[in-house]
Amino acid sequence: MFGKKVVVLLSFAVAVAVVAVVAVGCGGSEGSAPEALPSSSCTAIEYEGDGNPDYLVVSDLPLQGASRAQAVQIVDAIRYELKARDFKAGDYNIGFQSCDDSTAQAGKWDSGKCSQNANAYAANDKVIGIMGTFNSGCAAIEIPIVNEAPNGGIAMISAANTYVCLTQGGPGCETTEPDRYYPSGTRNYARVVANDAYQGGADAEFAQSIGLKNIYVINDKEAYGLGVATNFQKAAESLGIKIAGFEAYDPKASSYEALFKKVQASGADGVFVGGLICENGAQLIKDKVAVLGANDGAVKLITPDGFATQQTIDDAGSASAGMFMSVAGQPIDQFTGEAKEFADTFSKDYLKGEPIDPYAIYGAQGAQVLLDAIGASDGSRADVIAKMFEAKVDQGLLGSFEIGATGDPEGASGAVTAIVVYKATDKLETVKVISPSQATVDAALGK
Amino acid sequence: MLPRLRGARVTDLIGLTLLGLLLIWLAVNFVKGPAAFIDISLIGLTNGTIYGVVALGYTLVYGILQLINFAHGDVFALSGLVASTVIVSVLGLDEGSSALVIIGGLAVTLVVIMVGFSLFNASIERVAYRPLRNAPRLAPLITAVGMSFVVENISLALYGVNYRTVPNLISHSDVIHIGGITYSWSKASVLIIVIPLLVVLSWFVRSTKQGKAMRAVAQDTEASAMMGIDVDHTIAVTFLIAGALAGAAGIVYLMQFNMRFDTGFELGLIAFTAAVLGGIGNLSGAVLGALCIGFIQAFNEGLGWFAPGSDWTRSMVFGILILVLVFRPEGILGEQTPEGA
Repeated sequence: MFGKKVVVLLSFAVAVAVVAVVAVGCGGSEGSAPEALPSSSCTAIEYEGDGNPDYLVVSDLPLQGASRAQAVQIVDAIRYELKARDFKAGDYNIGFQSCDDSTAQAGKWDSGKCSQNANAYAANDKVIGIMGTFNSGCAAIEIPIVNEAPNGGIAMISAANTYVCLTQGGPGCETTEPDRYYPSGTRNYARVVANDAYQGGADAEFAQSIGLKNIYVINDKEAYGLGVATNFQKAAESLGIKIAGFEAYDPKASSYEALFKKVQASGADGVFVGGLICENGAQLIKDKVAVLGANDGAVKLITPDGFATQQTIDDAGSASAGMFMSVAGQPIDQFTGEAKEFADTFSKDYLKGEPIDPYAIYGAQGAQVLLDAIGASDGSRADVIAKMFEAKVDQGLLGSFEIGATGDPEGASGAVTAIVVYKATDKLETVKVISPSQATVDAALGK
Repeated sequence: MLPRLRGARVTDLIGLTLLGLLLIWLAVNFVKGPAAFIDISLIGLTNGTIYGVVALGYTLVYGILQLINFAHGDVFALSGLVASTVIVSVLGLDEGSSALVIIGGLAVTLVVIMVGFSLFNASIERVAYRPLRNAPRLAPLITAVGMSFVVENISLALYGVNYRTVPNLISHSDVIHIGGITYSWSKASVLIIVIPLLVVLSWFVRSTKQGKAMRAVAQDTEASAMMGIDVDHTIAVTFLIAGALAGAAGIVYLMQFNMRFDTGFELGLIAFTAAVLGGIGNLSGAVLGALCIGFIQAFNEGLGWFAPGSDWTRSMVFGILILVLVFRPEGILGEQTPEGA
């Protein structure tokens, strides 16, 4: 009835089907390899454990431009933690992809790239945790997207976002913040770094300690820059420091000399800049010195962590001398215990003589919290988020703290609430480590 | 007829009222702090002069081809970046170099960059614009946008994303210090370099045979060709001059400010606006428009009494541009044309 060729073809088809079923079955027992995120933004899946990874953890950081050096160290710190755990979190095998939220054209994070990345994470059901972002503006774009990702949203933890309004409302925040970042109604974002209420408070206390009485505050209009400038302003006012002016600057302008003429006319004895070095910060510093004189002269210059990098000194040259820069954390040489051990091993294995950046320790701490949450979970995205909010760190890399209901570190002692103030010479020299008083932090938050 | 006259009077009245308010605002600020006002004016003068050199490149090309050469700003940025390499890496100039070495080095850089980028600009015209001479006007316009991206990406590929700068080769000590008014040698160097260039350009366009040919082609291309003027050659010369001006502007800008691959976009926008404000196609108008923008920026950012501040500079510049074009569509010094009227 059937021809010989038909019988052969049917036999072949049955054989192929059997092989396919067996292959799927085999794959199922070992766990099929997850689909990688797009290579246009992310590295290939990194995994050195047995079998295939069950889930993916991704880092989302600016790997091009002024923040590259810090971002690369955070990525390496995550790799360090994964290797130390044999790419496992509890019973789950974890693969890692490092994704870039910057573009060469922007030289920093790019809103389009942040949105594109977040949508890719949400669409890949194997992505169970995100380490990022570095910039608060990018976080403001990504959090709501991954908050509504299928199966309960994706846990996101940052080692560097300091913009207060990502987690709490208050002065300087829009009325819809922070609720608009969590459209599902459930929080999915945490951070292991003190927010800008601490940094603004610490900078205000530092300004008071060096005798400043009348400070002009300028900002770059971005979420982070405006936020930290507002926190500083509120904290400074609570300490009796007069605010001579509060104004935005245009990062695309050629010159800021006219702006500093206005500062000069105000009689300010200090300038606080809320912004980033990549937002034309070097020109701003040069023009400050050209109009108001050297930073160790009559008018001091104080900047937050957006400027606390060697690149500020390299770009602004001699004009940077004497300016103050603050950054969350403690000086590397003051770390002890587990943090010192991490710093020593990490420097030896990854940095090849380069100085360790404080953000590396924050990256490692963030990775620990996320991997512990994954390990303690039932493997669902929703449970990872729940476990992340139950995290309690005791004598960890950044001291002791727990992730509070807002996603901020709470009940903290140790480096997590400390702010170090550097002075620029030909490098960053530690001047002071400040843990701002609760009253100043509350004032910075407008309480 | 009557409604038109009445309409014109109302428009004039609004324009004069706005102008009056502007003058009152400036006068009050002057009275409140004359030294600061003059200081800020000098900043506007310096920045406006730099914008003027770039604006001249736009207006020269527009005058002769009716083409907005969007690539001009990017040629300016690339010239500044290349100049930074010449100054720092090739000549090795720094703050410790003697005055003679610095002046000689900068003069050499100026000549090398002006010559190099005049040829670069002329080759852009030869490759990208000349083949489209008889194409619909949209074609060269889109090509100009494309060339802008190409040149910008060349800068990005060669110099990366970070800002470039050069050491403070020119002293920041004061050349003028009267009361609270100060003006540094560094700022004065802009005028010292740019004013002779403008004088030479003006002489070239007004008094030389080639300059007359440029003006003739700008007025009527077909009639010029019939009179024996080599139009292609004249257009190529115009691009050579525009490229040289972009090179000079690149060096002057670099001596004052940080630069990177996309600096030309922002400055190009300002310079093009200046050319339109002054009357596109009019050389004096381009410089006047650029100075106006320099002053607007400086007053807006630096004055203390009811100045909106840095955040509003672009809105102020373009708001004033819109007002000028509403009341005088041909620009401040422009002549009425079918397009401009």
